[in-house]
Amino acid sequence: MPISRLLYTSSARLEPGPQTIDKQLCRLAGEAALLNEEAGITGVLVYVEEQFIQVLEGESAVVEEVFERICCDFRHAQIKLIDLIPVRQRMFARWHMARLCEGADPESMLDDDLKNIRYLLGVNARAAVERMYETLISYEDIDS
Amino acid sequence: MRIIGCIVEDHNLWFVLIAAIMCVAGSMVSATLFRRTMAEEGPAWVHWCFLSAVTAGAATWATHFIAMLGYQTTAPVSLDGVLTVISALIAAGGIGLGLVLASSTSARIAVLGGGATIGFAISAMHYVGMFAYRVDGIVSWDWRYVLASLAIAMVCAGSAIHLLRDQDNGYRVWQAGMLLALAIIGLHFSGMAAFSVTAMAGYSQNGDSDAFAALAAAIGMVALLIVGTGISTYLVERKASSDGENRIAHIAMHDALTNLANRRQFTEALAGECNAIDSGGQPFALMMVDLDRFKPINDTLGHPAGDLVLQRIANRLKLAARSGDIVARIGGDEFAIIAFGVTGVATAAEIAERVVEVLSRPMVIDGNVVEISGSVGVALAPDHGTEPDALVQHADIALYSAKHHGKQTYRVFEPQLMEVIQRQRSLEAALRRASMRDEFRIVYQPVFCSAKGEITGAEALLRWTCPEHGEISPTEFIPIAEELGLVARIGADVLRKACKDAASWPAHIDLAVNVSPVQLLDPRLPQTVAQALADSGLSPSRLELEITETALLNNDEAALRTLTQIRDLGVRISLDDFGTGYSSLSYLHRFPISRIKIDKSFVQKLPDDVGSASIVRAIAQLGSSLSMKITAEGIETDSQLSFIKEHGCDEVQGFLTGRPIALADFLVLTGQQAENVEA
Ligand SMILES: Cc1cc2nc3c(=O)[nH]c(=O)nc-3n(C[C@H](O)[C@H](O)[C@H](O)COP(=O)(O)O)c2cc1C
Repeated sequence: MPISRLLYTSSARLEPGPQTIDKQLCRLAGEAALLNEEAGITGVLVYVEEQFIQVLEGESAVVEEVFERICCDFRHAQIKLIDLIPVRQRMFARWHMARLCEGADPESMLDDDLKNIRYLLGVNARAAVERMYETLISYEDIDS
Repeated sequence: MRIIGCIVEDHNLWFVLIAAIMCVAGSMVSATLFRRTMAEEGPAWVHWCFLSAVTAGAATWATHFIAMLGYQTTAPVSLDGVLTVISALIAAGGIGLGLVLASSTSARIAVLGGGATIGFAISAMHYVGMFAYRVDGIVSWDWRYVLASLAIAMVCAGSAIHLLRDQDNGYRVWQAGMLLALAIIGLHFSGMAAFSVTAMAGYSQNGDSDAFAALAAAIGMVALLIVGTGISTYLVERKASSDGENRIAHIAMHDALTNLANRRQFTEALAGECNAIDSGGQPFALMMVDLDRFKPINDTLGHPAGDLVLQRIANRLKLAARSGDIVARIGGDEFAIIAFGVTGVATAAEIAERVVEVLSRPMVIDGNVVEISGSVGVALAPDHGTEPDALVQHADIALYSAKHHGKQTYRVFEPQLMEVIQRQRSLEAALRRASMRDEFRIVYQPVFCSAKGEITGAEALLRWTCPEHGEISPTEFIPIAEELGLVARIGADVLRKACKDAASWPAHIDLAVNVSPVQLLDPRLPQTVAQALADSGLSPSRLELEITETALLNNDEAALRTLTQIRDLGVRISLDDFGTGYSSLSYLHRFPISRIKIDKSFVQKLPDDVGSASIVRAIAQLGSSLSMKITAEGIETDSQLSFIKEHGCDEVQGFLTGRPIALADFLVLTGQQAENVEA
């Protein structure tokens, strides 16, 4: 079964309701992880400067399906598909939907790392994805 | 009246009541079944006829027996089994025969023949049943009542059939049912009035009376079961057929592919809302939605993919509209939304914006990235009209205007738009003429080597001065030309002329020509390029074609083939506006691209904007690692130029270094430079 990796960005339209952004994000990623577990999708969701950056990996057809669902969601807008490639192996095999959220760890360099990822994305999508993976590994203990 | 007296005096009223209920219920069912039978044809008619005859026969028969249970006589009673069964067969058979006649197309045969037969069958059943009813006493018949009972049954049944022939009026069934009930009841009690028994003195009450009651009750139950079966058969059938009718109604009102409302439902709903508004109904918004780039999808990915796109679009539209709004597909790639209770522009704009936004989101189909978008035109009722036609026209004008303002946007109707549309229409006409008469000019924007500052080439840019409207910018007229299908022709002209011009330039000065996405879809492009080169004598190595990322997006394989053929001619390909679209390394690897042009939106934010600076730096690095040349576009200030130089972009282009100029001026410029170099 061919495996694809999809990368997109979008600008967040989270409701400024009673819940903090962080909480909403936690819930969103949590729900996504549950759905993804069922669908066999893995990946990471980054939130930085009111932007989402998400990687989805899985069977090509399933990735298409899940991405279409995501494209029907009004909690974000201006969805830009950055990259869609066939891959031999999953990079985020351990996470049904890992989460990297700006401000989650004020002491560390996380915020800077996430901003760098965002800049890198405009230039070299592959490198940005690798950077996401590295960041995830190094902050895993904090965010889990 | 003897009949009334007979009911009250000779009958147990409880049984009479049950018989009456049985009779009315049975008659209603019978009338319904009769009507159904009379409407059917062919084998179905045979089945309905059988079912109706059995049910109606059983119902009359049961009524008869239950009423007989209530007949009070002092004389002992017994029942003849054979005659009882025969009476039942007479009822069912006679009614069946009557129904055959009643189904005739001739009103006379149906009403007189059918009605009388049914009435006679009921009567025959009754009197045969009475012969089966053995009383030990002196029985006497009053023939006048017998004849009256026959007349009542036949007239009532005939009238019922007459009513049932009117298939359009459902109310008739009730009237016919009541007439049938009247036929049975009237017959029964006038028949009973004709009958009198005098018990013979000295005879004791016969124990068989109990057996008779039990038998009659059992027969009544069986009859009830038959009637019940008839009722439920009818109900099941009606449910099935109304499900079928609902499905047919659904199919008639919905688009088969997307399951949205279809044009018919849309038209009806719009007319309905317009009527309502005239009588003080809610204001609403009408939105016309048109997909901007749908047709190429069918052409390149095939119709199944196109259908899938439409289905997804339909789903997205439903989510973008509010629940309760009507979303309809009214043409191949045209949709419409009726949004209820929209009182002002703000609400309408909010919905339209959601629609535009959700349509502009990407879509992946079988590994292909499909970038479509939609435009929306909005008209408000009652502000912009209360007639369906006016509203549709105004929404269409708004849509047209949206499509010509860069697409992927929405417009709310306003009267001034009419003028805009007129300009658009006249531009279209002028553009058609211009492409026939060659009214276009080419200007050349010099490209400089960023290190040494000398001219290394020029980009050919198209200019058009409309005789009516003056100078029109390419961003305005190229989309119109694309829509009118003129782009291939205009593009080929530009290529031919520019090649001819460039052939007279110094040999170290290259020529860059833009190729639109639409041109790239044309498989004849390599041929056009080869022809232009051959005619002008320009060396292929001096020509560069500029394409945009979007051109590669929708049409991977075809674009790759075309570009490879062009590269094989010895012509270079460059990627214009880099960084604005689907910037992916995979494109750079796959396509034969030898130069990247950094989009001016980044360059213009240099050197202060950190993001743009890092992007420009990264693109420059990318270029060197992939051994591609890098050009920075849109240089306007010295600080931008020095940033660019510092970060190793090979060439620069922009107002600072040189505006687009006419051929003659460009020749002067290159001439001067040649002198400078010689000097
Ligand atoms: C930023 C963002 C990321 C999301 N990621 C996922 C995801 O990875 N997997 C998923 O199933 N749903 C994801 N969703 C949620 C989907 O948009 C959608 O709500 C969910 O799949 C349920 O869809 P349904 O209501 O059509 O069943 C995401 C939503 C947002 C806003």
